[in-house]
Amino acid sequence: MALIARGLGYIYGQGTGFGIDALRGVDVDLSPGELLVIAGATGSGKSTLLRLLAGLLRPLAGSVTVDGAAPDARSARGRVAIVFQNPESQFFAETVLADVAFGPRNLGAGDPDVVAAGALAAVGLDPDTFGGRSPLTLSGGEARRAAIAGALAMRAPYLLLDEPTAGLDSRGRRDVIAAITAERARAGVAVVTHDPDEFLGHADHVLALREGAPVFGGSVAALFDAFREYESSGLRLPEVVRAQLLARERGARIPAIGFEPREAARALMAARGDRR
Amino acid sequence: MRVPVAFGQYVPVESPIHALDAKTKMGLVAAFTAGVFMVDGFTGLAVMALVVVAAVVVSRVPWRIAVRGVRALSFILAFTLLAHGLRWNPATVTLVRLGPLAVDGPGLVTGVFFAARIMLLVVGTSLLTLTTTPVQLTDGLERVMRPLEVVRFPAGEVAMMLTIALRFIPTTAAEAEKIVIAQTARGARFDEGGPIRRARAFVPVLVPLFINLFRRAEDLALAMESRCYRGGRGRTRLNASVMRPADWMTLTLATAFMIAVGVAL
Repeated sequence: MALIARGLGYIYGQGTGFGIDALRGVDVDLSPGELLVIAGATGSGKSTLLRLLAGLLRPLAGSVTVDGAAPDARSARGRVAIVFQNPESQFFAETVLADVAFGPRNLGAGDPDVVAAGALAAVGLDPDTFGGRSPLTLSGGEARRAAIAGALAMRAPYLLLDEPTAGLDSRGRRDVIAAITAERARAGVAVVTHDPDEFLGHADHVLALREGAPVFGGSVAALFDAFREYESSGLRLPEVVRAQLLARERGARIPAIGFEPREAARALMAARGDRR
Repeated sequence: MRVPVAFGQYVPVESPIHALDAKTKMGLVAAFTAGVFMVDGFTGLAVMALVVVAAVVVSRVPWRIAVRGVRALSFILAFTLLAHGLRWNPATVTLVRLGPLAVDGPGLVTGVFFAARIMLLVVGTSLLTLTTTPVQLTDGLERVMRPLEVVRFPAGEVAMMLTIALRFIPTTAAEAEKIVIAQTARGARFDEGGPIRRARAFVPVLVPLFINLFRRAEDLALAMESRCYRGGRGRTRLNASVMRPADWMTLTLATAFMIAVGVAL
């Protein structure tokens, strides 16, 4: 039971002579209950990888299987939900509830309105308050969460999100991240982002891409041991984390790296032998 | 599922035809169209076909792209052939009889003539957009329409509208494709059921597409206004297009040739 990719490769415009090598040699393992963060700079192949995992593109090298089946096979339909960049630009229904219910209505599973209300509640939007409003009246963070609810309502065991926090203010980002990490209780979640800092503290696994090739893949603990490989993707770890890692490189004993400044301060002082 | 983009998109290669001024090419297309409609025999059509072949070769536009427009017209071409070639229960059978239907020889010849004329027109005129960027084209149009300003025709504004419309065709097509993929991922099906069901399936695509278009239009209007756009009057060009001697020569010679062919053959 997992979403598995092996040796994935993709070239845009293959055979035209102008082909762009977008992805090569990427492995992915995503099990329900896990959060995988796929990080990389712009143009590193993150979005291509997500489309391949969702079965929207066919890999030119390697393979993708969803619980043992190819993602475009009938059996895999509705097993992988995907949230694209700026998903709120795809609202079409008159009410938020009707829009969120679009997926379950298409799949014909359960009462679409009940499923949709559950999905709205899961992203922290009260169905009674927001369900009857027009999607166009929502704030940025609310709209993004409602759009994510539209994907959650598919009740797929795997959820893929492309830059889910892009363009949101800090409060919107916090709400969206809370909704996404909570979804781990029901599904395996993969988040693609060029700004992974806020997700790293919640991640089980991290995959870093550079120009289409993986430069790091592993657990967050392994990431701390090999953070220079991760940073060769062009991304930087949060300053708080870097400070602890640099101290550790110089011999400080820091058993657990914290993401919060308070945790970091405590760890650094403990390593120095100070107590307070 | 892919959103089809209309044929006739600019092919960025360098050629003598690409180098001609847009106004020259518009004049050539007008002369060519007149010529194709004036010839009334297969000899004249053959000469015009040679003109088209030569133009495509000189323009260095790949043949596959140059004739793409014909495929879109295959229905009209077939209809032209059949309407001229088929007779219902005629008194005399000239070629083949299939029950009450008969194929009429002279009619079929007429059908071939008209179909060939349509094909020549499509390939010949599409060369204009294949070898001219939309911006050059609308600049040329503005210049050609300018005399109409005497009768208060807003040439500059119309040209600007055309420029904007052309500019946003690829953007809109890409956006439509993006929305189709997103709604497909939510279980929407665009290729199932009868025509009404299929049409209804596009509501979740068209609504967001139009909302985004209006938003974009508003942003664009604001951006233009904040850069002091106030209509066509008093606007000057950074790269003014000028008719060079080569343009005048090509235009004069080609127009004279095509009118001569049209009158003679």
